[in-house]
Amino acid sequence: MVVEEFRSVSDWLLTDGALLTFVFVTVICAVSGLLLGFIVSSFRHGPSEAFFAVSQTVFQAVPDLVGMRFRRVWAIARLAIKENFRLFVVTLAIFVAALAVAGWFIGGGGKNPERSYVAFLFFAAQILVSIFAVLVSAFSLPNDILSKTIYTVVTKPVRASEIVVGRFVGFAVIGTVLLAIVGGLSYVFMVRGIDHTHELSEEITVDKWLPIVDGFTPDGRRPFDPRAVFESSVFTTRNNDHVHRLAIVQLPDGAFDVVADETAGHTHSVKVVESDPVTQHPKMVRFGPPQGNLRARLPIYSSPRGDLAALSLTDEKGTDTQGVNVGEVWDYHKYIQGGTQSTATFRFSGLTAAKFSNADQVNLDLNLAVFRTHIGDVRRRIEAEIELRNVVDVADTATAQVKSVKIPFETEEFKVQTLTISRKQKNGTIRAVGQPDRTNQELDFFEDLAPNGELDLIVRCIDQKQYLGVARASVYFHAGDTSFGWNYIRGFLGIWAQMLAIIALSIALSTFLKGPVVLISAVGVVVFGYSANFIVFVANSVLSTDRLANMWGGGPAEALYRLVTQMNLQHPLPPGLGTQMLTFVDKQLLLPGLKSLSFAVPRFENFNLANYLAYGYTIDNHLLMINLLTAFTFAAGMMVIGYFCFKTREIAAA
Amino acid sequence: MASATSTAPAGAKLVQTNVDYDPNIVIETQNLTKIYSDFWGRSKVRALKGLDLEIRKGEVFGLLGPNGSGKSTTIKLLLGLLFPSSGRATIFGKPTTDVSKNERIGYLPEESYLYRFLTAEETLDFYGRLFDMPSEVRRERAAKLIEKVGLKWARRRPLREYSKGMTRRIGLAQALINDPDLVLLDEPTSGLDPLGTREMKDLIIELKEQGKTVVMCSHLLADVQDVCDRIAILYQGELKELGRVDELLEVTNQQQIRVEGLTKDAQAKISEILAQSGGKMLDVSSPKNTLENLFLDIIRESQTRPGARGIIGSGDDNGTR
Repeated sequence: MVVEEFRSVSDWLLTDGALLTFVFVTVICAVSGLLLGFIVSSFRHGPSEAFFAVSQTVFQAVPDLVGMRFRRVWAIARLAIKENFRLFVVTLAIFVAALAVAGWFIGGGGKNPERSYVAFLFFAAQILVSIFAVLVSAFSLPNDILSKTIYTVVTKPVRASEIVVGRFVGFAVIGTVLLAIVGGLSYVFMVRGIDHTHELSEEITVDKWLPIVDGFTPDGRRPFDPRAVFESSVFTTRNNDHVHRLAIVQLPDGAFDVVADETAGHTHSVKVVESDPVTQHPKMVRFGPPQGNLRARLPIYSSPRGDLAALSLTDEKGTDTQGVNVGEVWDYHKYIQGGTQSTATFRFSGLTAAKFSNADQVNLDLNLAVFRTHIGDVRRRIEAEIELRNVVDVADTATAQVKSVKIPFETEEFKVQTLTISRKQKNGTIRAVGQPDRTNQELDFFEDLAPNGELDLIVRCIDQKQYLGVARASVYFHAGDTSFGWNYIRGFLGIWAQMLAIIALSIALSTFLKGPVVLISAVGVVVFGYSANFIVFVANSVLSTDRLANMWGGGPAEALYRLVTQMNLQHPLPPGLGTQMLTFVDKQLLLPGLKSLSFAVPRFENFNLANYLAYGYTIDNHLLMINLLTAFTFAAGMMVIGYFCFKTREIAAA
Repeated sequence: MASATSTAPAGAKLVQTNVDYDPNIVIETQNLTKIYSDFWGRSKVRALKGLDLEIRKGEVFGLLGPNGSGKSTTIKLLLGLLFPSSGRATIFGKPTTDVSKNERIGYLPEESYLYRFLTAEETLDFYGRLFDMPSEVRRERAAKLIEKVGLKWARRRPLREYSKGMTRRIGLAQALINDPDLVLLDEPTSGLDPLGTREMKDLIIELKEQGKTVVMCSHLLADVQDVCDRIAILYQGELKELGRVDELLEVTNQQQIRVEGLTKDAQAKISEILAQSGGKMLDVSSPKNTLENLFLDIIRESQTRPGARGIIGSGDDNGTR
């Protein structure tokens, strides 16, 4: 899981320039609207009349906004709901049918079945609700105008603002109810699909319990749980396309427990039903429901501290570096070299005991990548270590440097690995200026290592000539888990935000276009919004003056030329006027234009929060707020545009 | 100025700010013109040409004219459904684009443009909400109007199941939901059976008796003649005739005398002895034309002499008026 979204709302508004973009787009739209209105009106009535008409329209907006009455808005909303009730039922029926069919293809099997479920269900819900939203809102007002039923509405004391907002509220309500039902059904579908249990394939006699000696089983394997003292050679029955193995583990208090391994992204609680009367080894056990597959981790990621980055790397000599390039150009990770001074330092803030569900045992989750230059010991994974340090300003000589003992671990690739760090750290070191080091100190994680919530975590790779890949999101403190159900609702809030944006867009378009044209235009804008991130990327790349940053293939015009002529991307364009024109169109017209336009529409791609659920992470409050703010602001803008378009439209001239 | 509707909330009462506003004039148009243009702004049709009109409080006013004469355009301009190309129109002294004027207006369109998935009760409830009426008032008003238009038995049926006549009736009910001071009726008797037509005309007269102003357009001249105080006849967007119905239909260059108790001789010599006869003279008046004849005469004259105004009333051709 790659988390790129670390922004707070204030960062997004101020640092990333969302507020400035909003102001800029608002001003551009307002000026364009006034100019357009004036030009059209001038053609019809002459410039002086046009000036009066435009001014009057603008000033009438104030009473039209202030004079809105809830009863009228709700009347229009209720009408919109009743009008679309039939489509609501049909859409719901389609979703239920889709679930029924999906049940044949999506089973509880596979490595991480919950990911398949979440991916499918969110995709289906997003597509279905978006189609519903665009259909109801694209045709409603144009149909009213076409059938002239609008005559009996606008001849009542109803303001244009009430008609536009009322429809938005109505469609939003019916869409929200649809989304709630779809969400509820899909949640039940997923939980039922994933739910399963197992039985033992045979009784585990004493000889089937394999002792763990020096960390290995008799057949030379690492046990699945490092605490294991026995591991069973008996598996569970196969269910949902997987089996589990059992182990007897010794707990820190010396007691023994029986656990099942983590397979297909989950484990099961195990209850001993019958034990061997002599050795007390479990013979028969009962398995509970799956655990650990539907979770919502609450991570605390590293964050920038002043001028220092959230994650910084040093090379083999200990000097700052961007990380080693291991040759995988698309790899998200940056690599540090093993067996050298190369380190990765993660800077954490806000680490307080109150944030952790269990402050006595702090969980550190690692999602590291490994790049091997040699096979090494095939029985062992790549070894690494972490070290915790308090944060001391260079100029501060009064505060002692406190650091924990180095904590070694074996890396587990392709999964989230959890290291449990005890709050009380033994064998720590305290180094104060002008005093000898105090070693073997017992340190408190929160009081000594992170006294003001700030902590540096250093990661090193121990194995020589092996490389460890790190990224900002690949190491985080796991404060606890939130409710998966609540996280699921938050995921659906992303779809809800997208639905609101689509409804508002379609309503605004429907105030001056016919239904089918609204449908096509709205779909076009949504597709454009989905591609906005890519468009900006292409524009920045092609328009960059850095030749190395330029991507192959050029802009849209050049791409079209290459497509038509079947020309390879790397092949240079033939010199001449045609190439100059293509370059001019791309660099001076299309790309700057498309890039500018991309700031006027929401990045619809960002509304999809399914990955957070699929990979078991709590959807960040700030991310959710950014999505909702984006949708509400866009919807409000569309309402204003819709109001002016409807207000200035001759209803009976259609 | 007429009082605001009893159902309108206190805050919604119209405040008259036009100092020139005469409360006895409900509708006023000055040089009202509408030109339909194409997408590029080029003039296509001149639907209404410089209409000057004043409709007074409490009168029943008829707009007559053949298809395409500008009647519906006039109504749409008055309701703000169309914007004038030039000239101005006011209702209750307010511009037609001011939605607050609609608080006191009831409108029955040519066809009953209603939401067919709603029942009669839901329809009236919906329009009542648009007037910001409280629920008790809506319920009471809706029940009364449904009873009045004779649809109590079908009040819970969706309008898609209604006949044309029933739809007209519920359309009329929605036009009266706010107890309006001005009622605009576009072809009010269209689609109604003879009994329904009679009831509609009775209702118009009842509205007049309640002091309300009614403006109607209709092709059914007999209906107009029965209920209208004044009429305007439009042809190709121009006002051709305007006046009281009884005056317009008067044949001014002829007299009719009704007498009683004359002998046969006296009857034979009626022309000579009229003045000296002992008969009691009951009435001397001009005979009445029918509105249908008047209408057809105006249309014929307009076709032969385009652009002329009041051609029938000049009294020098066919003798009417």
